[in-house]
Amino acid sequence: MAELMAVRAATLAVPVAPKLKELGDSEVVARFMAGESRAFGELVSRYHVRLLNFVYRTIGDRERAEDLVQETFIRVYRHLHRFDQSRKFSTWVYTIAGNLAKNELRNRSRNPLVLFQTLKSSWDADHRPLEWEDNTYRPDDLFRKRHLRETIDKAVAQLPDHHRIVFILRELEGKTYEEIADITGVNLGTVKSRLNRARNNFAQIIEPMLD
Amino acid sequence: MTCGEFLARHSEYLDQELGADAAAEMRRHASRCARCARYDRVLRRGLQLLRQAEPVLPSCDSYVGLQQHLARSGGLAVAPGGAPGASVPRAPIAATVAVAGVVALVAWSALFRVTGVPATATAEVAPEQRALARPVLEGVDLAGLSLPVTGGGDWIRGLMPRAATGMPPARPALLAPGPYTPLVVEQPDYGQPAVVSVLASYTR
Repeated sequence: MAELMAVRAATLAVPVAPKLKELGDSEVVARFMAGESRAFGELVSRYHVRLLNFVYRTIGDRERAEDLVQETFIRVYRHLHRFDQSRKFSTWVYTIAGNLAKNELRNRSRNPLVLFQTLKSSWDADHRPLEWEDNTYRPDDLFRKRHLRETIDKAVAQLPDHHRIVFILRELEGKTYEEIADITGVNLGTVKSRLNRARNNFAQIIEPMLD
Repeated sequence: MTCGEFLARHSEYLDQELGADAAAEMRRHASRCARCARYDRVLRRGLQLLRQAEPVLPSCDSYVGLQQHLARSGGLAVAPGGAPGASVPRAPIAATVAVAGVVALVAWSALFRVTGVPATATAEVAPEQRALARPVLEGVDLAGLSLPVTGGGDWIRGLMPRAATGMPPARPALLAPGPYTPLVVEQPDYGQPAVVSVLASYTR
């Protein structure tokens, strides 16, 4: 009987591994490093959409953004063993994606494809799939709403590259000043100054539409 | 406080990084200066609209592409306790079998075309079966995730969820990565796997 009790106690004492979704990033990374390959899928599911939106807003090209996010995950996969686990995983992964986006912008400025980009954006607009709208809205409201959204997108796109990255990280990704400084590799004062200028520019561009 | 000072400190004011006194001073200035009040209002409204914008969702192709890239980069075999970047064995047998399977399948489908059987025969799969055709990378299993997809992902999105059919969970298996990668979907109901061509679903 005592043996049975001991076995039962031992069984109850065996810790049940928590599900991946319940774990923090660093624990998921640790599980992956310990050989649990599904953990990488969990990291992908957590960051794919966020990184795609970050890179897309930064470079303005959807297809290229997908390529760069893919490249980000490949780099994460290859170099995860070198990742300092005392740091935040999200900061690291955003740093990789941000560097790839910056390289992309740098390469573009060396080899400008302005005409192609212009053509592409107008092609996208012309070939946008038909959307069924909510008919409770008035057409002029819908037009205004869409126009406003496009204006806001354009306002973000018009920001200088180094301001735009800081702006997106703060406004869309909700990063703190310190995290932005880590991701972009600049000091805290520069982050604040760039963010203030980016917001100022953004307000100036959208002002005629909003007030 | 001047308007220049207000603008210079506005970012920190917006992020509530200023102390109570400084923030009160900002509020006082805005209440007296219509121009700065307008700036504050416009910026807050603009940022609100920006955050309301619908997020861009990854296309299905990007997951397939990621899986294939990881497979090519040798990321398939992660030995227990081994990091992906460390030198780990590469699962050569599985890879060889997978490649042989694809070669055999390609040769087999070419034979069909020569003998007049429509090449689309392999893609004749019911929609609910197509929903199960989700690529899986051995070792890096992204298939179990409920990842949002759009664009090229139409062949997955909107199709009947397996739970609704009352059938047991499917276990799709990737034969080998590549642009024409066929997927084998096990169907416990029928006892035979269906071969679904990814290419066929894209070109439909």
